Amino acid sequence: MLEALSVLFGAVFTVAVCTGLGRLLLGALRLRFRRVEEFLFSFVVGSACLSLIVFGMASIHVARRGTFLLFGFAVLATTILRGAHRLAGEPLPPLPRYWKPLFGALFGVFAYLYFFNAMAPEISPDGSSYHLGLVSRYLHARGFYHIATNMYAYLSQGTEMLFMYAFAFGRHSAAALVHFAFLATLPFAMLAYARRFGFPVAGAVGALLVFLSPVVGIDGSSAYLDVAVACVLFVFFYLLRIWDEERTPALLIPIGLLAGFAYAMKYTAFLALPYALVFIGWKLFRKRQNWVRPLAVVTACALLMILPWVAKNWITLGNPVSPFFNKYFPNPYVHITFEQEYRASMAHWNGVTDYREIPLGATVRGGQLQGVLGPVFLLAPLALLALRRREGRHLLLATLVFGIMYPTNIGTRFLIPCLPFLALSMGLAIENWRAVAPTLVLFHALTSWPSFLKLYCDPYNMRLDKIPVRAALRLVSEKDFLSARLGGYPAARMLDDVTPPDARILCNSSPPEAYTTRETLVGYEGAFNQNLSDLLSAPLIREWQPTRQLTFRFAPRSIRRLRVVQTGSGSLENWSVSELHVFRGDTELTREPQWRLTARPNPWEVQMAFDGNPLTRWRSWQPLFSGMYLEVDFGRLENVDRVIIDATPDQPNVRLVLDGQARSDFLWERLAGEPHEVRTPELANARRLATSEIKWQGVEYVLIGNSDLMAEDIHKNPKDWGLTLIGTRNESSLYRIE
Amino acid sequence: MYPPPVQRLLPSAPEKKAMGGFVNMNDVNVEEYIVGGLQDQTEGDGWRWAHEAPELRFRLDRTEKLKFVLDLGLPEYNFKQTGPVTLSFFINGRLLDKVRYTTPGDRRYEKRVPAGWLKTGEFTLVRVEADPPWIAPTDKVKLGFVLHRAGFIE
Repeated sequence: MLEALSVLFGAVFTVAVCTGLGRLLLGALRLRFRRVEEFLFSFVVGSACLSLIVFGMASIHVARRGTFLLFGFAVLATTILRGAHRLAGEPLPPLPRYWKPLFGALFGVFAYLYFFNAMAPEISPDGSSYHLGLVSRYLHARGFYHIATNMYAYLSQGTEMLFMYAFAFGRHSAAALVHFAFLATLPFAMLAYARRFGFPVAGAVGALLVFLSPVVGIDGSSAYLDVAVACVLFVFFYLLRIWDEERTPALLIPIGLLAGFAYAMKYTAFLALPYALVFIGWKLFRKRQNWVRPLAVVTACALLMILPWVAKNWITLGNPVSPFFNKYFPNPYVHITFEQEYRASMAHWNGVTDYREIPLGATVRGGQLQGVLGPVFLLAPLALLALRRREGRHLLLATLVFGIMYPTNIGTRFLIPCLPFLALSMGLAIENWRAVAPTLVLFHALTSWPSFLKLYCDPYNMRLDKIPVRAALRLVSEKDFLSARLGGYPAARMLDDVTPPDARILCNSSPPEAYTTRETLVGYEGAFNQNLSDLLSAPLIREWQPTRQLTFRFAPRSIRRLRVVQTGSGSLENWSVSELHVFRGDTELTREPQWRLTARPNPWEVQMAFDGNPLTRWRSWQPLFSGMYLEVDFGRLENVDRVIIDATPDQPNVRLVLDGQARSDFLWERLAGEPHEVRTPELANARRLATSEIKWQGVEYVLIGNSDLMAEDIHKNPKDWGLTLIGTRNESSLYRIE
Repeated sequence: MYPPPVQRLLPSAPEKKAMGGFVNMNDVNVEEYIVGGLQDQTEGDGWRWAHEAPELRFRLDRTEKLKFVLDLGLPEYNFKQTGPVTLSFFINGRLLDKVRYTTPGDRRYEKRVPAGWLKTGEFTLVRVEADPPWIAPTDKVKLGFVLHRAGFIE
């Protein structure tokens, strides 16, 4: 029970500090709102402030429970001393009489479902892996540190900063409850907006359509962030509309902060800033008012929230928007080919190639798109009827703008940020059809309730299925609950049980890293991991073994630099070189310390072609283009007459020539054209070569899932791999490299 | 520009051990010794489940003054269900011994083998029969004992 109290304290304290900060800021700006708005805006604007402050604490390595506690109490004390905790605004116009109990009842029932799911131990896939895994690692280190092996650490993490604050007190569930706070705030914000602008019934309909939606429910009761993003975007939109009515200059500050916070929470919400700039600029320009200063204020406030994340990535990774746009900001941490494949897989989530499947998939079936909005959203085209009204046009424009990034990731939950605008538009369209609106809402409530939902959605749809009250109150132990409900949990605990604290574990799919203190290197999550993961597969993939020997022969020459140039193009395959040997007669030149190696592209991994391990290889990690090269500078003139390249057979379109240079100020001259190729046998000890290299790179453990490519071979012949089995849980086996 | 990296000391291919008179279940060439009746893969630190009547083969370079040894385990969980287990040891078809184990745990069986029973130049076959075997409730697989190592020593 004490555990449950710490969970609640972590969440409530975080929400209170957010609200306190918001109250202080909005009070300092002398902004006046309606009564319920004061609370809603304070929480959301304050959450942006707290996120930025936690970022600052993490940057100077003081992110720890004690600091958070002191800071939080200081904020709350200041709020109370200044009387900022008292709500003073006028109330908003009330809801029509019968809507009030309907809204209250449906909100109450679903809030009960969501609250206990949020408070139960975290079992969501992303929440229990990277969202909270990274939070846990940051807290352990008291702040940010250079993580070179996890692309999720490169995304903006504004929401995770709030999670970190709550996690410090109540761990995983406290973080999920903070997200639940956004989930509970959103419908009230929608309702308040509609009441202020004169369409309360549409507001109630829209708010319930969003709040009761199954995908919104499971997302908002997990340590995800989509609902928080939706809430921030909606309040941002709300404040813009108030500014449009009132033109209070101070409003531009919270508008700018929230526009920037949206980016800080999720890259794809970057559109809030251009939306605000165009909206404000257009409104002022039409009235021939000065637009420069207001836009400068919004931009400055937004950049205050955005730049820390940009700077963090630029300084530590060389790419301000990592893990994307690596082609424009090449770096050693994310391979360009990986990014291309990742983008393609997100755009065709779980293999959905026909976008005509999306309407039914995202509303009724859910399986491949992981989550349903609810069948009622099949009526979404009705929202177009809202175009008749000015409010409807505002809302539909926002739907379009915040939904425009959806094709980049077609999972259902990526529709959540634009859902409030769409739902309000639907509400506007039907608010005057007397019996339709409540019927639609009741139908939505019925079809969204877990026991009814499971009757029609796909069996593997992501959804809530129980109300785990006992687990939430910790009357069932967290360990028992997680062991039963979270498949990878036993494997995660095994890592802590049988490996030393500094262990690094290579795996193809991560156990829930939020439940282990060990560093897991998931194959696809970083360039370093990807190289090691490929290496582990190479012994079993003939195409990845160096069974081709390419020989360039030429008349003996005295040269300083050699360059193998690739001239092929138009193919998606990568160029790779397993080993490059330089000969004088029958003698291979020893790789001297003064040699200097480089490559284009991907110079960072060039040493893999010169390390003496034939299984490792330098790869271009980009599709073929003419002009790729691998270069050796001997540091002095060397007599050479032959170059041999060990290569893999998975690159049939690669075309090579050899150039040389006698002095750095001389032109490159062609030493040899197409090389002579002979086939060589497969490596006899490839398995051992792979694991010895992995160990050389500082990784001493591999976690093998039963479905992994190499699982059967390793389980049968661990000795051949130089591996010793040290533990097995469920479908995962942990091996130590000897 | 990068200097050449430290050159890797390449591990050699796993040595193929010549077949002999003794085998550990985690030896690289353990499969060569197994005629049948043993689980397909080695577990943990080097053991395999033996079924009802596992059979192994050995190549001996002499026959004089040799003892047959076998390290085995009778897990408590299975033992509770089977009760005492009797193992019968056969060398080239002749019964060497019959031992009744009345408590669970790890054991070493060891007994001198008459030289006349053994052969050089061809396989020496060892068969062990477990009675009663433990029968898995789900797939009905019969398991006799856990085998760590076996063979002929002085």
